Amino acid sequence: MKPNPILLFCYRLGMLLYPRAFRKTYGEQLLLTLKDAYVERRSSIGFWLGAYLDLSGSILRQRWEDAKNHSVRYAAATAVVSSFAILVMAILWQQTLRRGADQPQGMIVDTMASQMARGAPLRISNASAEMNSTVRPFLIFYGNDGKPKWSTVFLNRKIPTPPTGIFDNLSRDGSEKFTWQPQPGIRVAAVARSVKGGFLVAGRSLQFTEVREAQARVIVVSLWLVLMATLIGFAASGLRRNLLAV
Amino acid sequence: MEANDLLPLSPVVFAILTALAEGEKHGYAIMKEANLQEGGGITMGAGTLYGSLDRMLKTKLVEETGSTDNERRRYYRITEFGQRVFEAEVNRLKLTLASVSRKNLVQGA
Repeated sequence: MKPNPILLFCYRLGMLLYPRAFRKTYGEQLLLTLKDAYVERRSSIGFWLGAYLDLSGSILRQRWEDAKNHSVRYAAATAVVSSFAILVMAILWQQTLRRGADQPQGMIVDTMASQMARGAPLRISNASAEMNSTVRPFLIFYGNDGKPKWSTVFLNRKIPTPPTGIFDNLSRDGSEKFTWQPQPGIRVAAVARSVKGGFLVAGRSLQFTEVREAQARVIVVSLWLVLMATLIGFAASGLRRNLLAV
Repeated sequence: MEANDLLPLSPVVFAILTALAEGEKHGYAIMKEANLQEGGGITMGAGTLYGSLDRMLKTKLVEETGSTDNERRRYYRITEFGQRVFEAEVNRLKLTLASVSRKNLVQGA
């Protein structure tokens, strides 16, 4: 009785994961032995389960043996792939933190815009703060000419004004998210929206986000350094073993 | 390399050497022999078998006979060095068993 062709095909596919030299030397013998064993199997499910488990374990073992014999090649390949993966992870992490910094401002602007559209009176806190000393969200309203009308935040006792290009974008697109640096050392995550009679800008200091970004950078760089040190150690031990074998 | 350098042998290697100590065999015959109670009762798949044979060929415990049957099955045999390692392992196990017996650690042993 012949083995199930699909399961046999999958087994052959799995064999492609063996190191090439091993596959070339033993591939045919492996299949012959598998077919011999199939003839005397007790149950098909048990046979294939055992065969695939054995194949998986054997592939890992042969890969590990191969990695020890070609440690520099494996270490270099792992370094390239893992560095790329860590870089992608770092970018995604940074993006997630930066997007999170926009969260309350977006909600504030949407709420205020809908109140203004309904003509409802705006409930704005009278308390105002200097931009360089607050981490609380703030709100500024600019007229259609780009001149500030009112604000819950000040910078050097004046209402700060974003780059003029922002208002052009708002007139065209309706809303905008941007990082605003009104003066060196102050960076703000801002969300702006075009409303009736002008533009609303809600912002919040990026101070905490930048601290978290710095912490994330330390973690990612440490992870990368530990990984690289491990790979260099692995490659060096392989080289030493090969030299001693000669 | 001395025979004792390779001791103790793993159960799979010992079972393969036990099977080949009787005479040359192909892969499946080794697997069947190893699976018998007197062969060690070791259940191994084809991947484990050829992975072990590969390492045993590199350490010169076994060698290919160079002959194949009509199905192209390759045959393997134990080398002189492999035989010495096998005997050294058997003697090591005998000493362990003798010690177990002498100390009466297992009833009926």
